[in-house]
Amino acid sequence: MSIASLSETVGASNDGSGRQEPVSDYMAALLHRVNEALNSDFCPTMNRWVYWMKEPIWCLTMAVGLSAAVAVFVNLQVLFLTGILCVLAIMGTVLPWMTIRGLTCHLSMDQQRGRVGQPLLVRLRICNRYPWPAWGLSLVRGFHADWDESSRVAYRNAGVSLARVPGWSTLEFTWTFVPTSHGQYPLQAPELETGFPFGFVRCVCRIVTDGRTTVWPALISLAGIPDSATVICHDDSPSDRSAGEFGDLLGTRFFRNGDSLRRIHWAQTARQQQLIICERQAMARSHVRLVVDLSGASHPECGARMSGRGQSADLVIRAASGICESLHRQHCRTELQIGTEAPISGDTIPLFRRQMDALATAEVHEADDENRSRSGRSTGTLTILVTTAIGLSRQSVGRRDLHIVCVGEDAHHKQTCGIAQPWIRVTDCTSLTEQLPQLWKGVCHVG
Amino acid sequence: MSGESEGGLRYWHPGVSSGRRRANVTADGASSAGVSAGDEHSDRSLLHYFTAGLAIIAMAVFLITDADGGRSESGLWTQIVAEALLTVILTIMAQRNRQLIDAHPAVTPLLILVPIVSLLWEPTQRLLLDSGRPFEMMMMHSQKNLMLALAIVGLQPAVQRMSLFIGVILCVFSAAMTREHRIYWIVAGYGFCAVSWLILGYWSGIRVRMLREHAQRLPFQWLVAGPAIALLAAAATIAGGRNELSSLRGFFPGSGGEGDYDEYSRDGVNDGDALVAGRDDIRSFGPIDEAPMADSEKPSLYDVINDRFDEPLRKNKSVQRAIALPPDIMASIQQRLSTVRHAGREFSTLRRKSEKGKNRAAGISSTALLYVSGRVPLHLRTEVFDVFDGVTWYAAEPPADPLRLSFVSIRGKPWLQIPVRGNVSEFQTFTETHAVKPVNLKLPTIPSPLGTRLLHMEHVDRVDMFAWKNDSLICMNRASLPELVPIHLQSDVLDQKSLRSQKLLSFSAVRMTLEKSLPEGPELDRIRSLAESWTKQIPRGMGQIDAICSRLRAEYSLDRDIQFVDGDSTPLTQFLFESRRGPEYLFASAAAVMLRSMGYATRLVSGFYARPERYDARGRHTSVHGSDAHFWCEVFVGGGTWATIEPSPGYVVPGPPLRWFEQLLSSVTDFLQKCRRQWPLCLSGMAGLAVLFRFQVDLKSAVFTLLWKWFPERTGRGRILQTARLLEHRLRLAGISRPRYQTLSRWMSRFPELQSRTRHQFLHLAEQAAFAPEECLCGQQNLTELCFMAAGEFSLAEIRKASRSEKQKVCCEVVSASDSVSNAAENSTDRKAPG
Repeated sequence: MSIASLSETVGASNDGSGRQEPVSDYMAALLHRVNEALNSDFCPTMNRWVYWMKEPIWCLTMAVGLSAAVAVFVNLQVLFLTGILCVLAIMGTVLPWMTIRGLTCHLSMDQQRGRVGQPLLVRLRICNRYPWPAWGLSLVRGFHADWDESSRVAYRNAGVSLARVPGWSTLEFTWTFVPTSHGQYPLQAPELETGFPFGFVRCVCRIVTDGRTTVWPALISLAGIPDSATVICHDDSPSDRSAGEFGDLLGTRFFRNGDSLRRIHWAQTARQQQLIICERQAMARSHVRLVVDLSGASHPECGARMSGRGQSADLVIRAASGICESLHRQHCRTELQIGTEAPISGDTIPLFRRQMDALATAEVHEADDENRSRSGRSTGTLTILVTTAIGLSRQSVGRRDLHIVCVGEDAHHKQTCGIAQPWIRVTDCTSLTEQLPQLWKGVCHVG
Repeated sequence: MSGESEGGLRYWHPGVSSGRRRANVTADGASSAGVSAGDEHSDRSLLHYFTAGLAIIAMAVFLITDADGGRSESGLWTQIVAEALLTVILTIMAQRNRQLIDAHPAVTPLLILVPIVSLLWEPTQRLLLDSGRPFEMMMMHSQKNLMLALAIVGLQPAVQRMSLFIGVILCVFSAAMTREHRIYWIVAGYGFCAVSWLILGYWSGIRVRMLREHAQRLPFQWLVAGPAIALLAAAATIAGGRNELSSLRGFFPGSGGEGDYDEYSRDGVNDGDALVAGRDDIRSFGPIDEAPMADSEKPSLYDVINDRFDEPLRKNKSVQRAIALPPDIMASIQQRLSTVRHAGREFSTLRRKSEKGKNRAAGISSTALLYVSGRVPLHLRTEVFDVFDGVTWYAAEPPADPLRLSFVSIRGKPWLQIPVRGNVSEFQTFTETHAVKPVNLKLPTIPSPLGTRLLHMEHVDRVDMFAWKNDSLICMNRASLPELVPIHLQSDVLDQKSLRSQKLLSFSAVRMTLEKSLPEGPELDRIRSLAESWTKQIPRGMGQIDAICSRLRAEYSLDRDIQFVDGDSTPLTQFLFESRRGPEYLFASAAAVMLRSMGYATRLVSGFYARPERYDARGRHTSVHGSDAHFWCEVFVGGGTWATIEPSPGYVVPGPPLRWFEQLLSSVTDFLQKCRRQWPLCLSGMAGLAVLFRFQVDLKSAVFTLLWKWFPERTGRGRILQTARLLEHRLRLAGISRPRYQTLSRWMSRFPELQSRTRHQFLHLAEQAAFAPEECLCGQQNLTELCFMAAGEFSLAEIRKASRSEKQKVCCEVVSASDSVSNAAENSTDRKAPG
């Protein structure tokens, strides 16, 4: 609902005749500005000194101090309120502490690998060594990509909660978790916290994690292999057929200028009184080099977040993983290079898994050698560079074997002379899954 | 794990025998975590309504306190119900339009406007309606309105918590201000509901993400047990309370006690018009429900004295003959004694036990005759006796040449100025203010402390309404004091400490023949010799007076039930030489007579003793009952000044108001006495302190760790350095502080027990954070996690263990070194021996 319509709804006045007059746009805008001003944080740098007052335990402490002062200086009867508040503070602090002291937790995940959007089974084993039950437990951290201490409130719905663990018992809770982003789960060391009964303080117990699950990015199916991909003859799992002088005999045709004389089918030539050429075809495999640009210069927002991963890096990794997986599915030999790390090359399943694992856990690095991270050396192999609009602006024209997939559009970096043009440009990042297959199909057979 | 059941149910059987439990919980499916949206919505709605209910309770508490008995119950409850209904209706509307309320930009400005408008309404009310509220009430009204507004729009938990917090503050304020018992019950109810709200709020917060298969209903036993424990603790605090502390009034401006004037203040001495005649506004002081003897006759002073000290015995003629005043005095006061006897203003020390009177006294002792506001203990004088014939004291007469009474205007109020004979200014005095409200006492004399200089009764500004009762007492020209009308008194109180330090007291009372007169006879000689023996080698002055009083207080005991024989000796001699026990009037008479026998001018005073024990914290006054009727004496110290002397044990003459260090000393003394009385609690507290002292290192470490957890540095570098500081704190607590010339990493390498990969990684990072440029840490990931792991691994226990082993190693090295030294010495000796 827009602000104007809201203002009309609330600000409408009834003049007695049943007719309602809308509040003017000016008033709505003014109200909106006042509201923004009242809700603005004018001194964000001071928050670290005052935000502790938002904690319930400090509010309670202030209330205890106030009531105690009033009891001493004004009326001693107020001591009963001080007593209530003190008991509350003690209960709210000691009970969670006593509860969490007796807990030992182990977390395990059944699968080694998963994919974004596909459920994973998580097992949490909690042992309560104390006789009293543990109420109101919450598993926090580790299952949300953007979770940190400061975003505890924002992601308070992330994770799971457990109502009760009886005393002197060990329970195992299993639940399915659907990851929303790629990475190695748990992303951080998970913790079990409780603030029961009042939530004044949250006491935390560290959870021992047995094994991690690598979650690959969601699958983006791309059909076809670029025609300009380097082709290598290969007998097993061919991705292509290489017509030429080798391989099986497919058929015959009339001689054309330029054909090798070695391929002349002499018997047919004699029979037809024309030069007949043998058509041969050999099994072949395409070879593509995939370079993922995760340099800090191409992803400036990651440096500000200090998290190692941002939205643009996620998009680049998702696009790269889609290309990598699709090429593998079509038996194309792929050499993956992420930033400055050593390339992972191969066409076997284990190597493919390694590549996908590397993509899933890749993070933005401050590249020591930016040239390597951009496109790598020129080896004559078709190289697909997946980068951002900022990374694109840093590429120079001239490499014919370099195909650039640009994810995202940066308003500050318009097309200018001397900058390489992308092979594929995905402008709408929200529909990467739909847009990339279409664009890929369009360019695959054009080069 | 011992088995697996269908559907993924898993059972664990740990090695715990008795309390072993089974768990069969599985949550499958993508939506296993979290309750349904409908449940979440109902939880939030419930909390919203709960918050509104709490706000209504706090509003009712505050409005009852604000009314403070000054409004009719119907009017008060009409307002409460109206505001509650409005709150409920608006809350329901807000709940139905939660989308609108959540996003509308007018909500925050309106919330800001609510307290501002409440504050702006006050001057308007004062100007237009000629009524107003005191400052503190004005502020709290604005907060009350803000609390209700927050409760109405409190769809978010943060807004609800704010409303609850203001409600708590309102309850604290109301409990401090109120005089009504019902407030405590309502506040207790508020506390109960608030605790339940806290539990419900926490539960609804985690219920959103609770595993569906494991989701449980709210633990209702906690909703009852939590508040019940809190209320029990509160009851314990009430039981342990003392009222004396609350005499430190004047905390809130405008509420009285500190001397400022405010037309709209609630109450208090000298503050505002609230302290007015009880007929118009009973709020002044002295709650109406304590008004005594509503259906009985008002006791006169005669009745009170007789109820307290039994009725006088009708003297037979032989006794009358046995005592004789000096002829010269007898001749001059013959006429006066006749008048006094006729008026019944004498007091005989010979009294008989009266069963009927005792019964009535028991009834009266449970009621209040008057109320006193101000510092207690206080001696309120109602009658002064100056002539004593050995058995009976005769009241002093009005002065022949009375000083003229006049009115002065102080802050627009008429105050009766009571002049003083003589020069009082040569003694150090301090001014005290009291207010006395007779509730049911038939007496024209104004009960006032010695040295009263100013007197104020609302709307009374005519001098002919007052008269001298005697040289130092003022009475009203009517049969009795007006009922329930506060009488404000300002008196110059003699500083007894300075009096004792003053060496040039004259005690010369040349003209005071009556105050020095004594009956003649052998009994007087015995009394004189007793007085002289008690004051032997003590110079004349306050020392002798104090000696007599202290001997009486120490060697004689107070006994109001003793019956003296109507025989040859007077009650005074029986008291002094035979029984050595008796009521207060015999203590006072004995002191007065003994001092007179030594040449001091004394007089017996009757009246009331306002006891500190009777101080009512809620009413902020001290009630005076029939059982508080008392006798004491006054001694003339020169310069027209009399000083109060208290020979009766258990009674004290108040000194000047305590200065801050004296208050501190008094507090310490009170605390020690309290500790002595409640020794089990004290001992357990000391044991607790000892435990705290024993585990102080662990506690300090826990505090440092909590601070480290609660106030984390935002940057990775800062967090590492903060963790390193925590580690240094722990090292210091374990007694192995890092020397200044070594880095943390180098110092920690001394302790092999503290080596691990994580620790090494952290120490390396700490050195980088401390000494390397900022860029070196940019590439590092999971710094926070590493810090947590390091803080966990470098625990105090681990560091202590390392410290112990290090010390043992050092000891071993020292021992081995000393062994090697001794071996070397032996070897050298052996080598030298052959030579």
